[in-house]
Amino acid sequence: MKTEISEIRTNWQGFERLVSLNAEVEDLLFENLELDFSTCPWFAANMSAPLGVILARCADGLNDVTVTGVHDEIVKILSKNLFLRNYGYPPVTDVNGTVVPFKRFDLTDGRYFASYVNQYTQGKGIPEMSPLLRRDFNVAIGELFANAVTHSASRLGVFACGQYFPKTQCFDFCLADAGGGFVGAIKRAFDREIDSVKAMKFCLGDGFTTKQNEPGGLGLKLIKDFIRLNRGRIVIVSNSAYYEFSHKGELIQKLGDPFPGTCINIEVNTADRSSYCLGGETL
Amino acid sequence: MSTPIKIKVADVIGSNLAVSSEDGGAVFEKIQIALEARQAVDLDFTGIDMLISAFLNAAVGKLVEKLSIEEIHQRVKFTGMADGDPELLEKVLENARRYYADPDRFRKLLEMEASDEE
Repeated sequence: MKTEISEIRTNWQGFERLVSLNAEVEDLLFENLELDFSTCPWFAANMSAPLGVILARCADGLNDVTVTGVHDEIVKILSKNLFLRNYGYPPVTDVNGTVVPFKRFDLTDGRYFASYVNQYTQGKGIPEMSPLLRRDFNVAIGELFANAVTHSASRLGVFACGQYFPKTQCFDFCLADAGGGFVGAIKRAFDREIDSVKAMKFCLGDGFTTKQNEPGGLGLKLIKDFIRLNRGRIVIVSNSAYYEFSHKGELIQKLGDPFPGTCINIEVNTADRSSYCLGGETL
Repeated sequence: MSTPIKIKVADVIGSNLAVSSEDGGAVFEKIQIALEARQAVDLDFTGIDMLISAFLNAAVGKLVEKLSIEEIHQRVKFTGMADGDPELLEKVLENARRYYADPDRFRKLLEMEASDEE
């Protein structure tokens, strides 16, 4: 089977295209899937994480995935972040230190994940972030991972990837899992089936947690507060719900097809010289 | 009260990254042993480079089930925290207070949501 992938940016349209791709390939078994990039003029490197989820599920169904027709510029970007390495493209050295490489983690890899984030947002990485903003950012990312561990029950783990965009002075970090999404987490914890938009609203609620007999549910709120002050942006996709929050406002929309898990992308304004200390009084 | 028993978070979890509920749970067990023996605790975060709410929920948020926030502060001294972490701790304790005031709050809300749809 051959299918095309078109322009993927970190927005509603980008996720619409990815979930539509997932709908096409999710039931494949023992197939050869050719993912054709020839009509793709731009692929935001951080979106390798949700694409990684879709393709990992595909490979889990014993399908052989090949990637073809990738434009040179995109080959360079997706080879620098090592996404294309799994598909036979040689890795390219990240000379400018703008990449947090694509990586898959088990849910028990919390410390390894935190070390990976520290390593790639420090020294060689992400040149414009002040040390204090980097600290806040790393803590926010740690909250994201802990969140995935709590709600996802993802057998295939968690996929992470980050990209610094010097022209727009923003850094995007994306974490995607192949779990049951917020709908699945609520079903497991409370034995209640609600639609994906309502599930998203519940999970964004202050203090909402799917943990049993233990307080929680602060992580997303803290990240959102940080993004608000930093004038950044957060995008969350879980099942069929798409959520976006930035200084321009907030929106929840339904996607045409479900994403097979949850994906959270945070975009940090790296020109911001402030520090907010997640949880601090300034929030 | 006697000299507080020092519990070094980094020693208990064997890492400078306090980033998981499981590690928080290990610290909670140590605190609980000391408190049950009527010992005051010095919970020392020296050397911790990253601290997140999920860890604190499990390590100290669960104390709110049996103790008020005031009692926790009387019996547990939090030392060696990095900038911003004491404020995160207070948010975690306050969030836990709200949780234990009505642990079934979200279950009830979900039931109402489900019955609205029927």
